[in-house]
Amino acid sequence: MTLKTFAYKNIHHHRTSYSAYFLSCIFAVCVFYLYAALLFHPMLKKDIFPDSFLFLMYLVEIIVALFAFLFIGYSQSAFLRNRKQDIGLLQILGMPIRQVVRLIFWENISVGALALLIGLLTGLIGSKFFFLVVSFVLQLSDPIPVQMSFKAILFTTGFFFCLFLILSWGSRLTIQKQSISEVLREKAQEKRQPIFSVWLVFISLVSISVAYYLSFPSSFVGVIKHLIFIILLLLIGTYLGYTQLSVAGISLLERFPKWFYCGINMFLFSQLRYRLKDNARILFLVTIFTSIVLTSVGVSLTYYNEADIVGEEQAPYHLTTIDNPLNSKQIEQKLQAYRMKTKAHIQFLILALKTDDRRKNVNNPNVSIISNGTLNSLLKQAKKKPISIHAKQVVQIWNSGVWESGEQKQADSFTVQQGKQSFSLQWIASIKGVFFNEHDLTRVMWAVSDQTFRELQQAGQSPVHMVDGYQFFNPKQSMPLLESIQRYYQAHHLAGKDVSGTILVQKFFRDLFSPLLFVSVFIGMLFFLAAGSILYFRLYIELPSERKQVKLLHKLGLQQKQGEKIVVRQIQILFMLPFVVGTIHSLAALNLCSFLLHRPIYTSYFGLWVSYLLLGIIYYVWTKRQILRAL
Amino acid sequence: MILEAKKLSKIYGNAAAYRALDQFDLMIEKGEFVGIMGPSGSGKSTLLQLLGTIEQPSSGSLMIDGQDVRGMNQNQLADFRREKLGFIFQDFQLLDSLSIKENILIPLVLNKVSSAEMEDRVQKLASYLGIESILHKRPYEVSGGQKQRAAAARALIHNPSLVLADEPTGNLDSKSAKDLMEILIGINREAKTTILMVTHDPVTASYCNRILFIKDGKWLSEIYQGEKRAAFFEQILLMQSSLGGEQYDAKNIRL
Repeated sequence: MTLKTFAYKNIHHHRTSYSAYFLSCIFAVCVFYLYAALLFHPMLKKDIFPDSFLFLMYLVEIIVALFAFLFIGYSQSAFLRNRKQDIGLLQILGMPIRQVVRLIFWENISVGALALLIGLLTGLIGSKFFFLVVSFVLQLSDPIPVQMSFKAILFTTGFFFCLFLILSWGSRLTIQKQSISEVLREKAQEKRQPIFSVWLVFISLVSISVAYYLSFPSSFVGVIKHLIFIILLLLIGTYLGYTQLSVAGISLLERFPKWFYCGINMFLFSQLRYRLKDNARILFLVTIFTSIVLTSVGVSLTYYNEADIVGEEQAPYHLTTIDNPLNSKQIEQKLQAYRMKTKAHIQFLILALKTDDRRKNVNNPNVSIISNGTLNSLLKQAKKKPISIHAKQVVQIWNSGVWESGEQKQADSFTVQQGKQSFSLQWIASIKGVFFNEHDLTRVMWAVSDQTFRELQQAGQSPVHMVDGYQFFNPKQSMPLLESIQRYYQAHHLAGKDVSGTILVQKFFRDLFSPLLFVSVFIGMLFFLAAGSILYFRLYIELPSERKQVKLLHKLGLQQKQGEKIVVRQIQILFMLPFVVGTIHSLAALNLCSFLLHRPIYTSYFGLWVSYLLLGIIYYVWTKRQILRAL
Repeated sequence: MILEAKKLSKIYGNAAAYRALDQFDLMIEKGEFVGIMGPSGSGKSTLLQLLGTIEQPSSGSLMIDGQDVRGMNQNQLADFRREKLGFIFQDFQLLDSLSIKENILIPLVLNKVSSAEMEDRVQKLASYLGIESILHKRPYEVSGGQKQRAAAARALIHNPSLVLADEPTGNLDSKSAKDLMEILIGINREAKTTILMVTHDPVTASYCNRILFIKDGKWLSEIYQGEKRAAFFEQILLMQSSLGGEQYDAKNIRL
């Protein structure tokens, strides 16, 4: 018998506790390989992927790598803690630390090598499917050919080998910290009863409520301002919630003896309380994982599914042009050629002025001026009440979905320059909402009375832009028309973004969110597996003491079934709590991210939630079976 | 002289220092079978940990088999333990992942002994201890007595200079305890293996050549085995009752 055979025997013996870890390892390797295969693909040189997509791919690869480090590192330390006794004994019997480290390295590398092998095989098989999906997501005309990429295999193998090497070497620190005298001393060291501080409970509650409160104003600008703050508050609140609030909760339960001393409740909760410090961290981690998965997949799924509606809302006109080089007759011909039936046509002028009034335009000195008549026709199309603006007055229009729609009274004055003249205007109100497709010129507009508009127009030589907006009866067929006009613009060296249309915005959203959805699903699955496997470890590590308690209670007259129920309840709590908290967090996050929709849309999220729940239940049932079998 | 400890002290903690062992002297000749007895908290376990080189003494000197143990680093200590010491624990400490035979072989594996010699030694020792039939079983498949005999085999297989036993009969029934002690004195006599044993049990202790009593970390007294074990046993009982356990205080007994 050598050190190596010893290592294999250890693995064989601990195979049940390795199984969940093994599964997650395989999946991590598989995902890592798939993305590596894509990144090393010769197709990449042909520039068929958009840069943003490639960036996303690199990002995923880095996330998977970081995740592998954290997850495998965590699992290893959990194993080592579980085997403290064994390792301590070997050290007493004279195994030097370097040999212990080598033993752990052999164990890691043999489990890792098998996981690597299986992961690579599944990756190779799965890459066909994976490439098909990528081709679909990117809407490539011919799918990416599958190739066995030796570079990718080498890269994956090298990465995981280094990972195991570094982590085994790192385990030296953990082992050195553990006193080997623990083997000789009393095994069960008394744990102190965890206590809670009222202040920390308070802080937890306050930070969670503040975070939720801040996440409510559903305007993009407001949210971005507080985003980091909200995330930080949520993290702190959740962590303290698990460490403090839970102890407080159990202490509160003790006050109700009727309930606390009923059945197995007492054993269950005292057990939970004593393990809370260890459990809290796990629960926290799993909650964060769950929230991330539900949020990222939920948001991208929602936007992907709602792209049509969002597009329609963000771009109410099916075709808009600025300074169209085609004259109205040519346009008419084009519309007929593409068989578009016009429902409405709106044409108006925008005066592009400049202002040096720093109070109003800190970064952007450009001011787009429209007349009251234009504003009212836009309002009429948007089915809103007209506004009448008096001379020397100005109404600001925030024409974009990123701002919360609404109206605001203002009382301020503001000056614009036209040629050498300076006009002072009374700023009376701001209107927010989507009234026209968003172009650079139409994002923020200032409406003045028709007379003032004429005066401004006559006063100087500032550029006047002609803006056209069309609505069609058959907008779904507008794509070829839009593309043709865009080509025409480009041929005349004009900015293509001066052409917009509902269908283009819809495409923009779909193109933006399909890769995001694709990527978040993968990371989501990885995180889901990791969360499950962390819970599984936790339970597995507690197994010996659980076994002891069930046996003892059995001796005292509790049925085996009842004793098992205590364990099952704990498993249920460990699985359910993070799911519930994660759901609440992700709902808040979804609400926060749905600013463009102006209403949270939960249908896509609900589908995702149900599938996550189902997967979770499967994992729970499997874990329960494994644990009860080992009990 | 196999073991020579002079003025051995162990102090735990810094501020509220607790003297677990106080200026303790101990000499053990080769081939001796020494017992250590004392009430709980008297410093027996601390002494065993110091002698087992698992913890370092705060002061004093410790020579085992002619080597100064103090001043060795962790790796040197591990090498030393592997070659010179054997351990028997109250709770057996067999690895569940290995068979009984493999458990016994651990010290030889660590010492990189050839597999032919391993086989040879394990067979001889197993037949002496009467555990050949269970060699291929797992620790959880055999009885407590068998486990402890396997643990004893593990402590003896590499012919250590000193075997340290911590309450070896603590988890055994009286029959198994008697069997184990017979084996230990047999090996002690035949192979001249030096054994140092900590125990609570006067019957177990009565197999020793010599018993040291320790209280509050200090050497208290020493008794030697005479002609008859029964007489020695009574002496131990007397000594124990005068020392008192947790319930008894020496002062009360004098009344």
